[in-house]
Amino acid sequence: MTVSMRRRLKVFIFCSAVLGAVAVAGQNGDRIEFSAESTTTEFIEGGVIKRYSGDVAARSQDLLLRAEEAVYNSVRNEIRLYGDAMLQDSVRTLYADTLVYYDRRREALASGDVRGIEKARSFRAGQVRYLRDEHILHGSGGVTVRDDSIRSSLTGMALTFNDSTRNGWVVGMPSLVREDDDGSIITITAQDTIRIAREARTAELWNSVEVKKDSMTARSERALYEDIPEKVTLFGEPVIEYIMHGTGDEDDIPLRIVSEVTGDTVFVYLEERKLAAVEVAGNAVGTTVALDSTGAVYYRSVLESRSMRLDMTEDQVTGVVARGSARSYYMHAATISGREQFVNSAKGDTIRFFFDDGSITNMRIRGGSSGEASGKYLEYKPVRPDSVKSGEDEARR
Amino acid sequence: MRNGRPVFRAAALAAVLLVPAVSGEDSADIRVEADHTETRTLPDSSLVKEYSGNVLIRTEGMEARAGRAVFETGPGVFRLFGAPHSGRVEILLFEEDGRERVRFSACKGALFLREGAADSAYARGSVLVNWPARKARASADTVRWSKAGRKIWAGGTVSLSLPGITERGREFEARDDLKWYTMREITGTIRPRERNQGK
Repeated sequence: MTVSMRRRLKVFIFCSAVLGAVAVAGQNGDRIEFSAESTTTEFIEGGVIKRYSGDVAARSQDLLLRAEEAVYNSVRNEIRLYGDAMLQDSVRTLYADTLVYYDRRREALASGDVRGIEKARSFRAGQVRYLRDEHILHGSGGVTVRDDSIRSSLTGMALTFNDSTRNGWVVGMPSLVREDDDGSIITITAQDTIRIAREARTAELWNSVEVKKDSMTARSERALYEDIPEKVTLFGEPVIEYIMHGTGDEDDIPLRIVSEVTGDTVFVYLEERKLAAVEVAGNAVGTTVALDSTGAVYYRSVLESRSMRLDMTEDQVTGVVARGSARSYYMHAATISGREQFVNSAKGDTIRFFFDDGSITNMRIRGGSSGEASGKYLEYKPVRPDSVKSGEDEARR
Repeated sequence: MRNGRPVFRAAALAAVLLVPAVSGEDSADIRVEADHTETRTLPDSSLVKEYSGNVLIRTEGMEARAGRAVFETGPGVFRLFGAPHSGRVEILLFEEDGRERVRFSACKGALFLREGAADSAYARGSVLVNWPARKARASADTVRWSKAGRKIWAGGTVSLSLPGITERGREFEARDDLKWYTMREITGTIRPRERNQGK
């Protein structure tokens, strides 16, 4: 190797080392660029305090800070921003009255009317703590999160969101409001917590959960929403209440019809966020009461079984199956047109109801203490003292 | 002895001169050394003393070096011009314990005297300011210093660098030991790690 070659090699090694060092220094984020209308610098024990005022901007890698005034403390390695403070990085933009940025641990504390904007999401909070290295955002003092991509808003007293896992928690009377494509609104509230797991595509809610959509209200102690399949599981004394308005089948009088389904656990199946089916496991009870304008019962039905499934299409019931020690009771009050009150009851292992245009057309009963049974759903009949028939009676006919 | 030869220049030429009658006060506080001096009387009877060649002016807490200096007794001002070898004027301020507080280096300068001591100073033309204790340096078009309030003002665009901090701005104002400073229209860079290492 000649002297010239050695010299070139040394120059190359030196240049490579310098360029490498520059690249590493650039990645460390160990550099904050400031601009402002004015600055005052004061030397303190072990460092400086710099006060900036008027259109202050500070940049460090992908981070941009802006405010009317700012104070930089080199000992604490913090920047305090006052008045229309803003923090922007590649994930989100935060606006607040006051913002403190801790450069060493890459953490921001925003307070006073905090607003945040992300790609399709925006949020408000009284105070926000943003841990950039941990990719975690804590909001407190009353939070609202709006996600325009799914037309939803989430409110609560506090939230925690992880940018890496995209998981989130909202605590303190959380409430989720989501608007469907057809404009109908679903409202989900809980007393304690909503936990959203983005990867699992689930939302878990607990303590006094209430789900409201159109005329339906579901209540339970705990609920789990799974996006795939689109299902809501209600645990702990679940109740689904459905309120409809209709007219009497013969009299054409206005009726208020209240249906209620309860059991140990209730599964609500949705298709494109529309109610498709309800399944009840354990101590299933379904009741429907129709009241006229005076509050008098027009008809009442009670269905009890170990488990139950109710299928729906376009907000109309298309089929009901009650399995395991199933019992059905139906009472129709006397009508204005002269029909007398009648009662129809049945029991068996399985009772299946068939519907047409939302009305029961047929009922099949299978099994029972005396073997398999089936029967046809009874049309109106005058009530006779001895006319209460079981499924087995029907089967014998 | 310097380089094995006798130093005779200062002995031969640079008479230690006391500035005569500065504002009517005792002039013993201001000492001037120079290779050559010349005194003229202006038509208004005021005295002009011109010093040239390695001019060294010493007063309480201050020292000035120049290639040429003109002292006007009327206003009590030393006008300083660049030394032949570097073409620069240097004005140094010292702490009570003798440590250098700040040093101005410029093409031209002026010392304004009052009550037998430097009351204010002025430097212009590519002014460099150095605060050794702070490891800080600044460059500006012009710099003014006032003993009252111990303040420094710099005109034009000012560039400042101290450990971990580099800044550019206008209307620089500082305490002469750089305990604090202010600037307007600033842009700058802070490198927190360097800042903390250089504290």
